[in-house]
Amino acid sequence: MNHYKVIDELQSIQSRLYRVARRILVSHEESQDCVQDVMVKILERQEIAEQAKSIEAYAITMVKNQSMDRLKSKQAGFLRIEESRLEDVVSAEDELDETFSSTQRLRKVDEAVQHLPEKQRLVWQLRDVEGYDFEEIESIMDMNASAVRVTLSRARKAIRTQILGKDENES
Amino acid sequence: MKTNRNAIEALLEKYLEGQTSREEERLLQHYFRDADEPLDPNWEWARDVFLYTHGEQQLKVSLEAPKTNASSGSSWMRIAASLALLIVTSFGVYRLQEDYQERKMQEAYVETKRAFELISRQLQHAQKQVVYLDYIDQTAQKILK
Repeated sequence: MNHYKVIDELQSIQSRLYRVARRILVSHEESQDCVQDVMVKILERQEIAEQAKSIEAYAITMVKNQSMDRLKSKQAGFLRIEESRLEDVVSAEDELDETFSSTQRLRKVDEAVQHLPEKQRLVWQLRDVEGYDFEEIESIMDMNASAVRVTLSRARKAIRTQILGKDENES
Repeated sequence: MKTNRNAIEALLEKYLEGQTSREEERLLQHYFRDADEPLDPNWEWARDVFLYTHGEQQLKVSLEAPKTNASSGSSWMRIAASLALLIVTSFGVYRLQEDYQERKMQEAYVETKRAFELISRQLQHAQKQVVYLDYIDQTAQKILK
């Protein structure tokens, strides 16, 4: 596989890489940065990427690892505060408007997803948005089959619970 | 597309348990995307979730191509360039070496020529001495006679 083929492949999955990064990092700039970083690394170490079963799985795994690392490195501090402030704004708006417009309903789902612990959020994203097979998710997340299903089930139930507004988040 | 109510209920249950296949999930997504408005209130959460995932799937970005490759070009270009460089330099080195050898040969020629001249001069000198020797020999013979 030559250089241009790898670039093509990366370009064709860049939105997917970005969505996975953003699920963890939230910020657009940061996610974009993360994805570009991963793409550069893959091009620099092309031989390793070619040995992997698929460039896509390899790239997604790298994006996942890197966004988790980035998140950890700045966890103590402003990100948490920003997130909680955003939540306040959203819930204040919701209270003003009793009848949910469709965008508000979607925002509520978004909020519910962002409430999930990182692992659940990623597994959910990989399955319900990106549509990966369980085997692919197992290898990307480095988890076994039953752990993936359990995590996914927890994520889906927690999202439903959150949308329904019940206070039983821990399931 | 008419889908049995019970079938959807069962699929949602399966979905929450993490047991649905990709096919079944796609079916659910289609069902809720096309669902008519007065929807069973128990299913509203599911409609929202599947509308949301569908929206997320449409989220596209277009990032700039990574910059590292701008300077490097494609691999065959690089190979061609380095080959050309190799040929040019090796030709240059070869020419230099040829020049050098020629110059060396010239020097050697001049050197040997000088050496021969020296030898011949010495020889001529020696011959003169031999002539003297002959002369001495002849006189000695005359005296002895």
